[in-house]
Amino acid sequence: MAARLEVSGVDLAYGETPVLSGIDFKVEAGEFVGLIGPNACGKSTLLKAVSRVLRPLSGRILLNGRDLWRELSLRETSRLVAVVPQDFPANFPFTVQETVMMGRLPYVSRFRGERPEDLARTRRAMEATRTAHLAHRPLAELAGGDRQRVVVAKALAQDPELLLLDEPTSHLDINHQVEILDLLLRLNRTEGLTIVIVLHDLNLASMYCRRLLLLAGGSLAAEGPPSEVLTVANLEKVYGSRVLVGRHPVYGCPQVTLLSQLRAAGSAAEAGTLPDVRDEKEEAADRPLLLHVVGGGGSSAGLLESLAAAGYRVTAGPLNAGDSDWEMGRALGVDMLTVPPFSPVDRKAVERAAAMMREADAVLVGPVPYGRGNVGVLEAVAEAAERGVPVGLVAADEEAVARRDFSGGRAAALVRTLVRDGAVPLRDEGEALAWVANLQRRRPGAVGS
Amino acid sequence: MLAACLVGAALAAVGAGSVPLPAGEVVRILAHRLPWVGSGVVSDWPASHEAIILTLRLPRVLLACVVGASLAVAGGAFQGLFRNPMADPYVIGVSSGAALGAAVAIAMRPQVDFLGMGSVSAAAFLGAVVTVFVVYHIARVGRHVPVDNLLLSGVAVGAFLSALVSVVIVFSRKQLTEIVFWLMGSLAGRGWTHLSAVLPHLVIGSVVLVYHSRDLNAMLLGEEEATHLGIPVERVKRTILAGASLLTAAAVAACGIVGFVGLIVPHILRLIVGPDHRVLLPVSALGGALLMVLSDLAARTVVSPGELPVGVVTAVLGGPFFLYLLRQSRSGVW
Repeated sequence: MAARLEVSGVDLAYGETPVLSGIDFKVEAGEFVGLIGPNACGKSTLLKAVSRVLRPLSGRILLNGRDLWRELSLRETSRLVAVVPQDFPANFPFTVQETVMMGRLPYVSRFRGERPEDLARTRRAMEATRTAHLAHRPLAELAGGDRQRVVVAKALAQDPELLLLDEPTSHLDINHQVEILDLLLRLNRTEGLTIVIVLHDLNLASMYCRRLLLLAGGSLAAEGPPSEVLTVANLEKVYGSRVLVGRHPVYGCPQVTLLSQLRAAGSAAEAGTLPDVRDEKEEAADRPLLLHVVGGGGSSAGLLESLAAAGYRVTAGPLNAGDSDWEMGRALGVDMLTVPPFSPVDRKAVERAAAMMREADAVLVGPVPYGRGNVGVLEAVAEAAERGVPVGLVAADEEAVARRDFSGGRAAALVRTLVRDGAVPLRDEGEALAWVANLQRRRPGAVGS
Repeated sequence: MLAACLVGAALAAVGAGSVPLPAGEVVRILAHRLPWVGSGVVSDWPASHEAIILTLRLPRVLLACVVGASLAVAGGAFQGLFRNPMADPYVIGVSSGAALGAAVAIAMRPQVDFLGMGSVSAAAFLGAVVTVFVVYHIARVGRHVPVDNLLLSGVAVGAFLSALVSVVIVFSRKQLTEIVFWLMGSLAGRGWTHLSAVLPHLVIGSVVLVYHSRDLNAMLLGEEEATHLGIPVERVKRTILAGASLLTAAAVAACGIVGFVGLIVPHILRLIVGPDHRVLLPVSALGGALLMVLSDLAARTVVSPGELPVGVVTAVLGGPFFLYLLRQSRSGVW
């Protein structure tokens, strides 16, 4: 009970306004495919063509190998394709059961009315969507999540082979979003229903869809599994906004984090004027500083993000693979010294970290918790300081260090030594950014210095 | 139950009038005329009573039934098609077109006969049908007819035609009263010829609309949703428009513009039987007939020997009852 969809060379327009051109893609039987793309890119329009609402100007749409617009009647189509629209009428006067029963229209004869099997199918659709207890409530009285499950039940009652959904979660809060998508995933797995879903939320699309189609500028911009489609390059090109792509901590699928244009600009302004990181042909003297960050245990993720957003070149490490600072660094594309998860930082790693710090214009040490495993890294910092690399220590006062010192006082002693030898204690992230900005301004050869 | 009420009301209406006739006699006179049963009923009543019933009151009551049913079914269908509780049979300008036709006919007095109904009815019917065509083509965008366009062009054309009616009235002072009374709707003086002219339209129109009642249900979900459910929306829209307009035009041609029946009867019954058009439309036919019979009864007895326009009575009877129901139901009309 699953349909294969084949779209080839489809052009779509509203009257004189072209929306999509030359769209080609296939959806295999039983697939769960997401349609993503910026507003007005034609996602909903494409669904309209597959649901027989908007006739393509050219091209063919094949359903199980048969031409949807030329070989299938409207009634035959309605037995194969069901749609969950973006907006279902809210002032609709029917009860839940009557609404779901509407899904049987493609099967019901004009003269006989509903048969017992239609009622049975309606019940099953309501049970599958956990709406059976609402059967006799007016649809208009239901809250958003319940109502959306009823709309899905109505679509299921159509016994479709292909289910099209147009942003079914856009008006729902997060628990209902997950509820609806879990329901769809279950239907996809248990009943083998082919699903094509328009989603606004890239992270939900990444979590649930096996394959994504990225529409932009009237055509298909990318196609493939989420890991291939949801890349920084694709998203920045298509959406024109700055993003980070990390990994979902549990499922490992790509997750998109947005960066505010304003906040990035704001922190740069606060900290002083910075050259634009994207301009690659700048003078060497104006190049942004290369900063090495010592982090771990999630202590420095914010610092990494702020530094990268402000346009500095950043390296980091040693960091344990999978640590949240490490995840952030990976998302930002930071060059990192990675050590295996939960392993202590050994002599070799400390030496390599020291080598990275020597290359850096400055070293920033985050508010890292120290244990016997990682306290060695402070020796590498001391070595860099000796060689004249400026060192900033975030939250380095006695009391703060003592709180996160689990190394039996060794870390506290090393920090004290560092400060005595000229390392700069910085109260918090903001002060760290200001300190770095000051270094950038006073950089030898910088404009105006 | 509604059917029983209707039969009771109709009998009472046939009995009541300037010459009151007892219900038993009415039943026996009617039974006498029926095949098979008739021979068993002994006629023991004055011939004048039989004449009053058969030539005056019975056709008038039956016409009230037919007109009421037509308007209520058309109103219910328009409300569903337009997904708009304000819709009534006159919403796309049928009434204004009919009014202009009738006003012109009354003012100019051409001697034309239409299905035996006389020139005024003929002109009203023609005016109504032409108006629907004009409105439909104004609203059309390519192959689609958006219902909002239809509503708006109906209102605009209606306003334009109403203005023309006023012009006609201004220039024909002598027939002023006649035109105004026609506009308010009345069953006075209508007989078997009117009934036989309207009945076929009622039958055809109602069958068409009831046949499409499940499509109307789906259209309540919106036109795209109806398409998803396999319903050829534009074709269904045209058919429903034609059926409901036919009902309305015939009813208006027979007895002028009787307001309110087509608006409130479907609403009242929707509150009682729910929104499913497969039930709503047939029940509305009965309800419309009942309201119309009662209103006409009141129209010709309350100020006897004078007569009120029946349209005034439908509004006076139906309005408060509808408001009462509206206050009772917490969920609103839809």
